Amino acid sequence: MSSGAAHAVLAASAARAASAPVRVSGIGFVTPIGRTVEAFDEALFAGRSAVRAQTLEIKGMDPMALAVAACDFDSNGVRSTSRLPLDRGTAMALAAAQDAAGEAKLDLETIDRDRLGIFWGCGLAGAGTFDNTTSALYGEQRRMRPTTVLTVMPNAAVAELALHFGARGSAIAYACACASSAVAIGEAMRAIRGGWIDVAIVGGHDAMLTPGVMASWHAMRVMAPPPADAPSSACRPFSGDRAGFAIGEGAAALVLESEAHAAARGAEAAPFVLAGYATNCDGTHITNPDAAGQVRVMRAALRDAGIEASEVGHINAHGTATSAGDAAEAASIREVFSNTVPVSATKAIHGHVLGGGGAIELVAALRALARETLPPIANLQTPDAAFDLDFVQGEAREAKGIRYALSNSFAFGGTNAVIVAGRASDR
Amino acid sequence: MSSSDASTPTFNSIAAILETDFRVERSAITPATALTDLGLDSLALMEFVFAVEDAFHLRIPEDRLDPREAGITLQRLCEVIDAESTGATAGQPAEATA
Repeated sequence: MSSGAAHAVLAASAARAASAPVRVSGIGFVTPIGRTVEAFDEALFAGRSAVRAQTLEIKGMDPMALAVAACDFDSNGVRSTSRLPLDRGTAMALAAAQDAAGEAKLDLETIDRDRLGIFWGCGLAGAGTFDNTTSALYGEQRRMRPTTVLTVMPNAAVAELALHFGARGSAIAYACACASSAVAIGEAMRAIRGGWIDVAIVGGHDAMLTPGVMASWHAMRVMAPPPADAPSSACRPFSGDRAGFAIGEGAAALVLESEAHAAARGAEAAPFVLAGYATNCDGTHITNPDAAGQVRVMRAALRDAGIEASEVGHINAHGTATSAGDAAEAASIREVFSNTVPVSATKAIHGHVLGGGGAIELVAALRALARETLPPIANLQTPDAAFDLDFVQGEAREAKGIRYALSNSFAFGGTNAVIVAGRASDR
Repeated sequence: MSSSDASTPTFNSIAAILETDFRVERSAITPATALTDLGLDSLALMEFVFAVEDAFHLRIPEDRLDPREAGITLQRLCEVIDAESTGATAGQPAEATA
């Protein structure tokens, strides 16, 4: 072979690797709508919301009526490898990741852990622990613990995950608010495609149901007031009467792996792949989303997957149910996909999990692919008249033959991330 | 109060903290066990001493017990706790809330 031809072969090989789909070998999660696929699916496809009303009472202040989505999860049951105390969110991260690794049947004794990475997103990380410890410090003059820094730092979960799995490849925390875990997942895809690692444990979490954090969100005026007669209907994405979101908590984890590595270890066939990913930044405003930035990132994700907009069968929107957020996203989806692709928005049922949101919502998109059924947007009675999209309304919709689904994550700070998921059998 | 065996309230309380919060196997927790043999690193040991102090509502002066010092046993820790408790609460029994 001539030198020129060899270069051409190498370049073609590199191009294939750069756009190759990455397997989803395992999934695990701790969410307000359940920890098992059965419970998750049941709530997802029925559009049954876990959002509840909670009154936050702080001395000297008016009570705050909040809409929250909590997990039925006992963090005391989770063991840390470091033996240090765990923030509730880190405990959720460990539980989700252990479930994902179990489903992937990862044998830590035989895989090359120099090529095992941890890519993890969180928004406020150990804010709950910090809230609790500082309130004890100021209110009760109780000392800070020697391990407080290690418990609240943004990479606390990454550190515990790396210790638990003995990961010696990249171990990186991604903090970009609502897009954190989508970015973490996408950057792991890139690392696997680029050949830097073979397998990654990815995802994200946040556990924000603590007084200081909830009061902070409340002060921002983005939280929906819980209707007295139906608090679970607080979050109404894309509705004409939408009023903001409910704060959630939880974690979701995936095991991502190259096809070659999965084949070499004799892994079972995986039902899903991640086919494309893109991230960018609006660069315009710290909270106000920019539809133009969202258009660019969705188109870039489709290019990365090597597919046309017409091949996408489902979009799980970011859908925060804020006035500005839904307006920008409705406009950007309309521009890229016209009104032909069905749109769901699952924050209505599991709340806004911030750093865990992108991962949990990707899991919802994968479940839609698995069941060939699209989840309805809970609480959406009358869509905003200005939005010309095909919303999945009322009940779940059959989607036989669906091949690709998009999961959107658009963050405070302007960071956008879009993941294209596909059914493995269709690649 | 004697702390020389494994059945005193003080020992039971610190054993519960070690088992529950620090995941130390119960079989490894005896009066003769040295703090440095609990499988905890220096930071976790400091966290353990903080947890003990909070549980007993007392402060252990550093000159009486540096947990990183080799050879300090759980029995010695119990003795220090009992002495500090007696001094701090004027004869009241130590309140173990772990």
